[in-house]
Amino acid sequence: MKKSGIFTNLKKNKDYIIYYSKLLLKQKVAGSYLGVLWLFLDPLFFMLIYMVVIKFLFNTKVENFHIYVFIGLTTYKLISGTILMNTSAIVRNKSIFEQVYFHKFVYPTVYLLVNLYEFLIANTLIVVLMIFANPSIQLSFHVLEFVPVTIVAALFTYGASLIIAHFGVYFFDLRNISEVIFKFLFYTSPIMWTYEHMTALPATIKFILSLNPISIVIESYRAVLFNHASPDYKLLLGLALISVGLIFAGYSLISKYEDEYGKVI
Amino acid sequence: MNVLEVKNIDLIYKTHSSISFKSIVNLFRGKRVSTLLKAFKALSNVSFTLEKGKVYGIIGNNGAGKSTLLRVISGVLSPNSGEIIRNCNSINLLALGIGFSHELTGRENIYLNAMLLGFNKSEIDERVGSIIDFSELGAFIDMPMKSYSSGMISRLGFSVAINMKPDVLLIDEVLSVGDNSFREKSFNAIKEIISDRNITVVIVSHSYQQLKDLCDEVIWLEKGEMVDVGPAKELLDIYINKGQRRIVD
Repeated sequence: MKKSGIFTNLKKNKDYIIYYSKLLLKQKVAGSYLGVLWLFLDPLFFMLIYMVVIKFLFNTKVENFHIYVFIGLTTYKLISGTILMNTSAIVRNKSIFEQVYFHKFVYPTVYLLVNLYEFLIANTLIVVLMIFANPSIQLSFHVLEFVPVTIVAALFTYGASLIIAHFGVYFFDLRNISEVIFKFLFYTSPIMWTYEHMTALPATIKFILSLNPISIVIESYRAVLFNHASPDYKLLLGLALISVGLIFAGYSLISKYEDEYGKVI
Repeated sequence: MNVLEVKNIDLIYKTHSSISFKSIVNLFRGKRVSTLLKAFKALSNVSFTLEKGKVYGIIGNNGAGKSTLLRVISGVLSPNSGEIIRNCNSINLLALGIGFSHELTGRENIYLNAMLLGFNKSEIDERVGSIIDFSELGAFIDMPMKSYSSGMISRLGFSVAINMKPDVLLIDEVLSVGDNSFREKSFNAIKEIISDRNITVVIVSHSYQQLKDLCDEVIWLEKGEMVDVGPAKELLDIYINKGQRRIVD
């Protein structure tokens, strides 16, 4: 069967991708009494818990540290959640593509969208929380730079997801391996700590840690939402270019091998 | 006119086993680790052509490769060797309820299912009314599918599938769905499609009477190899006799 490029295929499968991603989000709360409300209550309770925990347990000099932590956590959740989900993206939908032909890149795309929706809900709540819970915080026009940062975050997550979805067909172990790697990245990314806190850390190690994509995205969001500044666009652009490379590599891998997926049992 | 030509196709499935503690220990001891990848041939050197408007049956015992052959024809699986020439726009496997989710409503599942079959949203908007009518689900259509009986689910699946009018329709053992009256209705719907001389149909079934009634020709498979292809009635008689002789033996 002839294979077309990623843009043609995105257009061709647009309806299904959008419809399915919305349904998956709905499915998460299906059967509960509060239904769609949970999509907002979930991150809200999560934030409240962190607010209390950080206020009483953390002894920090950073002002509004809870917001600093939320931004890190939601970003980490977007990237790690999507990529982990995609380790089994294709295997999980095997019963579908055993019956109809479908370009397999559709599943990683759908899972990216589901996680992006949740991320956007959580971040909207962060902004609302910043305005209402703490009038001393002021928003600046830098909030608009949230958009380019999110685009780069989505591109990177998408590229990594496509590649991991392909290898996940052959190596079920990839999920376990990825979980270990993400656990490591959780503590080595500035989520619960700031670079200023880490006074004992040598500058070279700090530099290496700051090049981790999760760290780049988190710091960019903090610049935009927390510090009223522009993100480091040079770093972001570099990450965007790498991400586009990953997307094309991942897409061509899936295009090339997708006919084999059905024969791997 | 030939809508589809299948030339000398082979299909190989691959299976793999997980690394066990034993195999790790063996690896460190320098012993040979048994191969994790295994392969088996599901189809071997199968060739035939499908003519436009004719109805074909595929017969053979369990594990003969009937469903695999349908998947190869539909393009879901690509053969390891040999080639398939398609002279048609759409080939569809009449598969019931692909992608159905029990947490979602019947209506949502119609959209999901039909989109998987290649429809876009506006095309489904046009047909959703007749799909719901055919399924006879009434008010249940807006309730979560987990409240459905299994008969209701297959009725809905069939209703979506039957609204597809492809060039080549592949049917895998779905001739009996729902209760008696719905079964009759679905059988008539399939018969109507079969009588449409623009649509080529391939049926896999264990009901030889149905195959005799519906098919022009049958393809006989055994252990992945083609035994014969020819007029339905004669070949089915030979096949059934052979099966009976085996039982007597």
